[in-house]
Amino acid sequence: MKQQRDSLAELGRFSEPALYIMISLAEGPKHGYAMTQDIETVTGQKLGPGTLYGAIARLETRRWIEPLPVDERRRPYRLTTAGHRVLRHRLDSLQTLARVGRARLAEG
Amino acid sequence: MRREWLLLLYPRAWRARYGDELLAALGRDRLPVSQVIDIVRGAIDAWWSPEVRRATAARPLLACDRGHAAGITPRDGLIGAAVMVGGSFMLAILSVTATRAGWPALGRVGTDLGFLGPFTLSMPFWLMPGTSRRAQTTIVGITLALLIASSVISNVR
Repeated sequence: MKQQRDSLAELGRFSEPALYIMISLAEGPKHGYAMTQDIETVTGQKLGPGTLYGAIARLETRRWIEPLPVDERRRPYRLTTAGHRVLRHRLDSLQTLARVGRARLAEG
Repeated sequence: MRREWLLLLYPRAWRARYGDELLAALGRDRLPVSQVIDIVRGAIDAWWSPEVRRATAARPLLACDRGHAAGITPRDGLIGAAVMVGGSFMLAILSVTATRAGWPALGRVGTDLGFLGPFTLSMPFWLMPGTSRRAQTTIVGITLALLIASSVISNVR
């Protein structure tokens, strides 16, 4: 599978937390605590704060998410247009991977 | 262990950028050991990752906070600017029209108020955020009345 230059995979151990964060923000802006709650509900995994902000810093550097003004000591983030594009590409890749995997399981 | 102490493991620039957010994200429950370990790992990453260090060192104050720190939102700034530009434009037209119509004194009043009038009207948007509407109306109203009065007295006989 061909990888795009701006792929989430280049984030190394932060690629999965970054994907969860972007999926959470696809619903609308959220601050860190709301993201961890949402991610725990959706995936069953609780992101640690060190991992969460390590991923947020990387996503911000790439301008895939952007910070909004602080609201009651909590800063919300939102997905940027570039972030939408990267997330869509990643989800398409995962869908293809899942389809191929399921097909091979059925054959085997 | 106080959770603020864990923050001291992070670089100063990182703390300035994400410190408050991280504390808010921890919630109020007791910190499990796994979370403490994750924070320590995050601190190591913050020191060692050139990408994270670059991201936090380059932005001590976010663009979205520059106005917000003073209680001014980008929308307030835009409205204030529109009032300034629109008001100056309208007063300039009024001044020219009055002078051409044979009312030079009124034209001079318009010229006098050309900058100060719109500036006074725009004050609630970027100089008085957080004050009550009544206080804003009173201050702007009195200032405008004084400006108009002084201009009329000096220009109209």
